Amino acid sequence: MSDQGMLRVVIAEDNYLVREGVRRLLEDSGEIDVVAGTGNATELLDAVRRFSPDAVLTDIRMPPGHHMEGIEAARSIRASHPDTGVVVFSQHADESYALALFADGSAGLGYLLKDRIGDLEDLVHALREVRAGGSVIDPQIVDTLVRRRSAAAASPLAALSPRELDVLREMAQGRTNAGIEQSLFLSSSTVEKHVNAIFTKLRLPETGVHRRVAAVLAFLQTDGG
Amino acid sequence: MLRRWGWLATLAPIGVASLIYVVIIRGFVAPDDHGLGWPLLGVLPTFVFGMWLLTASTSRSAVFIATASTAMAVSSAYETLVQENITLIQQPWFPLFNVVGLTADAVATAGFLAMFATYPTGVTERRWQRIAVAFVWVPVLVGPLTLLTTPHVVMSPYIGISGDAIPNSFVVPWLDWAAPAVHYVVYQPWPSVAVGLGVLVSRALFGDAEVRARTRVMTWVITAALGSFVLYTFTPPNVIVAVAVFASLMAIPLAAIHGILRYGAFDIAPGDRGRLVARSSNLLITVLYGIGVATPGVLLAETLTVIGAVLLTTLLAICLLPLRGWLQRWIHRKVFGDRDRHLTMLSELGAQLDRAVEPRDLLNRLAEAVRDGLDASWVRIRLAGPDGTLAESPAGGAGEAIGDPVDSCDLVHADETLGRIELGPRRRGEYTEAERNLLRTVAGQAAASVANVRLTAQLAEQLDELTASRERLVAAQDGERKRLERDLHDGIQQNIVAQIAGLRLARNRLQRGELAADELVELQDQARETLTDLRELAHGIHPPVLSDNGLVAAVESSVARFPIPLTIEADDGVRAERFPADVETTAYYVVREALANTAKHANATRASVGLERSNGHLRIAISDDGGGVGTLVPASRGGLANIRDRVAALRGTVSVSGNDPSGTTVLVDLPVEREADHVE
Repeated sequence: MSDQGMLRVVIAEDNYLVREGVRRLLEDSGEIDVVAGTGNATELLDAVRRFSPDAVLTDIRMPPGHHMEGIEAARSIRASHPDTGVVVFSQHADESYALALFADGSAGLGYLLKDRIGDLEDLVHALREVRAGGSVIDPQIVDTLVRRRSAAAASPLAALSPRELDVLREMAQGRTNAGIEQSLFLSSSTVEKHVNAIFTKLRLPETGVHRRVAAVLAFLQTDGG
Repeated sequence: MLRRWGWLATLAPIGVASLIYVVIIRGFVAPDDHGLGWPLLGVLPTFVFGMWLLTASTSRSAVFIATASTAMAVSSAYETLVQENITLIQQPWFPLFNVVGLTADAVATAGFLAMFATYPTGVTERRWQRIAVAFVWVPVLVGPLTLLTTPHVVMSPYIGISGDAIPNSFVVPWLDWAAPAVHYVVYQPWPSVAVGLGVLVSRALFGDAEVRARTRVMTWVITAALGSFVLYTFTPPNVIVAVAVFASLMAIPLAAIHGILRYGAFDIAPGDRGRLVARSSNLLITVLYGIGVATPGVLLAETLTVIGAVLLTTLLAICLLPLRGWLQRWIHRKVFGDRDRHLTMLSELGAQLDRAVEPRDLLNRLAEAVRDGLDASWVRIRLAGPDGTLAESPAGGAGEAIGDPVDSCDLVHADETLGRIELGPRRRGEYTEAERNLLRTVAGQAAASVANVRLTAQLAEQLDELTASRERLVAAQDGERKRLERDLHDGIQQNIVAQIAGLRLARNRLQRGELAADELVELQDQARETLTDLRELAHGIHPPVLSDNGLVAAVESSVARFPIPLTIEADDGVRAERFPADVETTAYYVVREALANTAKHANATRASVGLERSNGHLRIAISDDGGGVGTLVPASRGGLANIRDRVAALRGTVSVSGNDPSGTTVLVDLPVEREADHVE
């Protein structure tokens, strides 16, 4: 994830004020070139075909139906343009939308709440992450999933220490070990120790960094719901 | 009434005296000459029946039978008298006396023929039949006519004495030319027999269906009797023919009783039938039984010894005892069967109606009970609509309704006609007056149940409407929630997202020292707009001015931006009054909805809202001069349906009417003072 090179991004958002605000903000970061701003899913798919962007930032609710057009578009883009990462930018904090997005796999997909718009770095990081084939999921959604899973009787999460739970949250959000070291102010060996403990306690399969999100999500999703 | 008692008082003593005389002479004084067969088996049953019929029936047939059987008794007595006192014939006045015997014979024959011909009421349907029946009576004149025309005495053929040798001193010589005519037309019974039976047979074969049905059995019996008589006349005396003759003679009263029970023969009133027959049935059956038992003994008395005859009679008496019981039961069933069935029907009807759960089921059970009780071919029940007209298709029934009903009875409850029970033809025979009366009774009893059925149906209808209304209210509420969610998500929330983005951008630019004041002004304007949107949204959910300042103030503030000129009319009382919260909310909503309809559909140039308080009700009139909302929006859907549902929830009413010359007025009436207020 080099910081070099401008990320070419297409954004889809039906509300003009939001679309222009996001465009200006992303461009202001100096790392992102917004090659097109579209108002609905059809225009978005057109723009993706034309520009083959590195990443797409799309609203979830768009005309004409105002339902889940963004999620459908994201999955169809991932199918047709494997090199284009998609971040769905949603006003729904309900985890079912995120799970619907990740239903067929999480690679190259991200789900962020619009609240995140003030955290420009997170937004840019997410776009870069999905471009690289990784996954991003909003910490608020992860929290909801963890809480729900913990509430279930005899949840294996009960076996995790508070620190391990923190690491799990970070893992679920798609952070690499290095990212976790930074955000939790931990040494690399400590992070590694926690990650191993988590995998053992939750009986998760050993996977590469990019697959970790999928594994954790799958775990959080099962039974606990 | 008096006349038939007159007939009875005249005929009964004559007949009884004659029979007693015959029985004494033939049974005790001179038992050897002639048996008691004819008087006891031939005459007595018919006479008893004739006398009984006079007490029961006012018809001419009763008089015919009574007269004929009395004449038979007199004839038998005359025959016995002459045979026992053979010297009488030498008396100079004998020819004159003989007129009695001849007349008695002729009256017996003519009476029976007239009765048969006119069976069962004594009246025929056609003119030629009446003339023919009059002819049947002509032989009655045989006595006087032969007295005047023949030089010798003409004796009854039954006496067994030829009158040819007895001079008739009363003959009028210049009338002797008429003697053959008198002989062939008047003395011979065959012409009148042919005429009388011809009338009966023609009625039995070619009469109306009703006449055919009534005369059928009697025609068979008489045909059998006639056949027996023919055999009796043309064959040497033997027991079989004699039994056939007596049996067919006894069958005539039986056929008549059958007619009475079945068709009300002899005009015996239906109500009287059972009573009279019941009163007399024991007597009738006893007489028939006695005759049946005695017949063989009497007939075979000459061949058997006395002991043999007694033994035979005793044996028969024992053997026929079950038959007597059976006959008794048969008559009782015939007589009381109907009443028993009717009582069963009435007593079961209540239970039937109680068991019925479904309205249609109840009507079907009612119809079934009536059909079984009255032996109807079909019964159907049609209900009356709200306007009192009967529905075409029956709401309940039993049996397949074919043809027009023969009787019907309205179901009336509390002065309201609820429907009608219609009765098809009776399966056998016709309805008696008692059965028709029973139908009225049942109809009266069932009307209350039918009223319940109707009430239940109405309730179900109202319940359906209520459920539909509730569903519409819920749907409207859901729709409202969705609209709110959308307004929040796609409107205000997005505005805030945009402002966050703007703020973040401003922060970046501030860090770089590039921030200009007008960017912040823009953000500030956006925030102010969001606040306005939020306020309007909240106002749409529930305007605070409604809770704070009341209905009229809320209505006035809500229509500030109404697109066409609008006047609000309300007096100070209504302006000052605070109504219950649900009334205020509903009234506010209704005014908004009606005005929205006007703005959307009516093409109006002006509108007005009037609010008025009277008699515990709040009346609201929303009028416009537009194209008329009723033609554009189906009443069951859209805003008007919402208005109706919401108003109905408060037990209010809505009416929509056209204005003159154009436009629409929606009138809403909401009760303000309700019991619920005190409860709450």
